[in-house]
Amino acid sequence: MLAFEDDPADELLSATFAALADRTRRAMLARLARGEATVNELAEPFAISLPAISRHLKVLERAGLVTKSRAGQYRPCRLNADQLEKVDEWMTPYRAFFAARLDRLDQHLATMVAAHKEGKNS
Amino acid sequence: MTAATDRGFTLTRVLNAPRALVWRAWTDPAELVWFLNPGTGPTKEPISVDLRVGGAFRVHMIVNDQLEYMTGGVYREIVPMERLVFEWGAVDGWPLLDPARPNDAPLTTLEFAELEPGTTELTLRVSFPREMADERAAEWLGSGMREGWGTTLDRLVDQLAS
Repeated sequence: MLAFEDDPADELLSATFAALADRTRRAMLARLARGEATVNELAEPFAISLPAISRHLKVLERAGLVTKSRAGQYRPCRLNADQLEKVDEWMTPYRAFFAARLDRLDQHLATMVAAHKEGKNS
Repeated sequence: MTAATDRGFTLTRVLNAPRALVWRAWTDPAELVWFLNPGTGPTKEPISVDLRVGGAFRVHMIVNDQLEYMTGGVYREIVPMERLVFEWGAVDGWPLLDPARPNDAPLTTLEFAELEPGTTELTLRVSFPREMADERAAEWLGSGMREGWGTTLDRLVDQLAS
């Protein structure tokens, strides 16, 4: 169903899943979804140290989920929504299931419509 | 951030059939044969439909000699000709339904709209609850846990631990 080869995009995706497996990191992403934030701002709601937040940020950056602006003293962090969307690829088999079913439904309805018309005429 | 909080997909089809027939195709066990894969052998259980809230429809799917599974759904909401909502899956199938945790199932919503006489727009939306999405994502990740994947994860675990 899905190919797993030595594909850098796959490697990145696996890093993305691993990054998302942590509650703190998900909460950090949720904060970034509302807009850019500095490391200090990101750390605020959590009862963990700034270095710990920095480590989480590094994981998120390597997973392609967060980018740090190069400009400016505070280097705000930003959410990379493109990478987040790729996470949804695990959904592919589920989507493929119904897409195939609906193709068949379309064909089956043609025979139902024909039978229906015949029934009316007889 | 829809991708992480509201995971799902929508399929829309415009069908050349009156709405009543599209509804029947979904709810009459004799008509549900389109669910089956074409050209496959006899199924171990006939298609069944218990069209009431809490009732199930069950379909035995055959993919090939090696792969067969039960699927179907448990109805949540039934508005004849308009709307059909079910927890997609089977207690002994795919997606796996746990009767004790109905909210963990992928919820499928069908909407039937007659655009003009003889033409029906069918909208199918599948939404995955957060817990299930995480579980499936992990499963998907697990299925690829070979070669490069494992080492990538090991590295991440090391980083987190350090």
